[in-house]
Amino acid sequence: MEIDESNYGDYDLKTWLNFPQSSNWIQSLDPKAYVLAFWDQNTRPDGRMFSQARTTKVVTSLLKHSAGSALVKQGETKVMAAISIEIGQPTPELPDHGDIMVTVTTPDPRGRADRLQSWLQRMLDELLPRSLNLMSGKACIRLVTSVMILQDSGNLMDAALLACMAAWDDTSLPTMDQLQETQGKLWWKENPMTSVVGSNSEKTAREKEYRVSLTMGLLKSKSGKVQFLVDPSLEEAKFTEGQLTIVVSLPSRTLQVEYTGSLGLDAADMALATKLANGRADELSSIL
Amino acid sequence: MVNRTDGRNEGSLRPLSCELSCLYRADGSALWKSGATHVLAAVYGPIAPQNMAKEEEECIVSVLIKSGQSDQIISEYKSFLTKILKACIDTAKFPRTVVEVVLQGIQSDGSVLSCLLHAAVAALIDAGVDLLYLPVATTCLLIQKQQHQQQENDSSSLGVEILLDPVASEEGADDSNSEIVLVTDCSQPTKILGSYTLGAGVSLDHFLSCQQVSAQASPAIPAFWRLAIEQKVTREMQTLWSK
Repeated sequence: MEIDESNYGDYDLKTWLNFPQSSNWIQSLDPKAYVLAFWDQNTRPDGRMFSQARTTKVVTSLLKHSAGSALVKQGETKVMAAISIEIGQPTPELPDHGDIMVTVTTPDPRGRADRLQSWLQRMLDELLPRSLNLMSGKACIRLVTSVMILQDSGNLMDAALLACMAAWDDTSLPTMDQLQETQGKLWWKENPMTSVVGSNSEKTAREKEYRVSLTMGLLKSKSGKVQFLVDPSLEEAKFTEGQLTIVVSLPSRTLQVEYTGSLGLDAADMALATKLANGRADELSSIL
Repeated sequence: MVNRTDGRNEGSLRPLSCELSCLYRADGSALWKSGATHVLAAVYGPIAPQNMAKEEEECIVSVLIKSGQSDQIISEYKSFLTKILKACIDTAKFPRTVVEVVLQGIQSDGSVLSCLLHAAVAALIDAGVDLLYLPVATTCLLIQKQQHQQQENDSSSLGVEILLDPVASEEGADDSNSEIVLVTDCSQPTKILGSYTLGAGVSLDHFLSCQQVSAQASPAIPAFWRLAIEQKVTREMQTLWSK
């Protein structure tokens, strides 16, 4: 690596970063300067482009005792979701809707799980209940979803929602032909965990709806324009000037926008952010 | 023209009322009424945090919401408001302190999140906390139009109706409605500083239409804050400083 000797008298951070071991202690002494040094050069600490998300891997059907399960690895963030099915009676106000219960567990004792849990509960409540109906007014399905955060390296929202969606995709829902009603009670005709034949056709028959989210951090570039940092990592998220999450519902392509920050967004910024979110939805719909 | 339950237009806000300094113990307080939604806000601070280990380089903003609504939605409102208020308060000016904002929902009849924010800002102004800008929230309810109505009504080709500042009965009318709360800076109403969406979701065009509706309606709120402050100052001049 060439070192420009005329810079020795100059204590510019970029010069110091040219030395191989310097990046670790700069990161611990002044994390903000470390991250800004990359952003100023239009790149990120892990070498991604601004519009590039981390490598996402999804593994489904890992747990034998759950109706559906999935493990999502997005960069270093790892989240697992497991869905189990209960059958019960719907509420009289909504006889055609089922129910979803989401619990989020995290190894971090500081309790960031509350906010994530209420957000996930709302995302799933707005999407799924209609598809959980069995017999209008008499029987419906409740999905008990457990989300376990195994490692938090930034952007838990996207990873957790993807894990829930992949577990939902993996779940085969019981239909009325697998159930029979006698004396006002519902009974399984055969054990739903071991019967495979009915469940395969069920999976292809029902059109499932999904929601895919994309979280972006916001930066102000030197020219004053707003820049979007897709899928911020834990170090980056501390120093962005805002966080924008766009949730795309598939197949209807409607959007939910959640934004807080100190930078104002105009119509052009929203259009760009939507384009990024739709791109991510296309990328992930091949997995789901 | 739309028939709303209270006879308003699609783009008109409900009548506002604001009473400042209604609580004696708090540094700043406001009773904000927007139609039948009443919110009481109290601001304590900037004060030293109870636990010295929790001091940070910038002021910590803590928001507490007490309301009859479900815990789930309250925790989301709390997180949203904390971020919005943290961005608008000049936190760098008050290191190692806490500004605590306590919001009490007294009566709720729709557009609760906007009222919570406006009450909080009014209380912050009353307390004299330095703000970088004034955030204004607008709530838009998007209703899917019926197919035959869409053909008759040629003024808008969007397929949805946008109702500003909805009441509870309008919000709860149909599952397929969406509600968007947009927060803007009163000096730059066309740029969004915050957004919160409830419901099935909207297309980008509808979202941008809501942004335009919000830009038109938002100047009313700062004008009202100014009115409330002027009333408070004249009242204080008469009672405290009269000879």
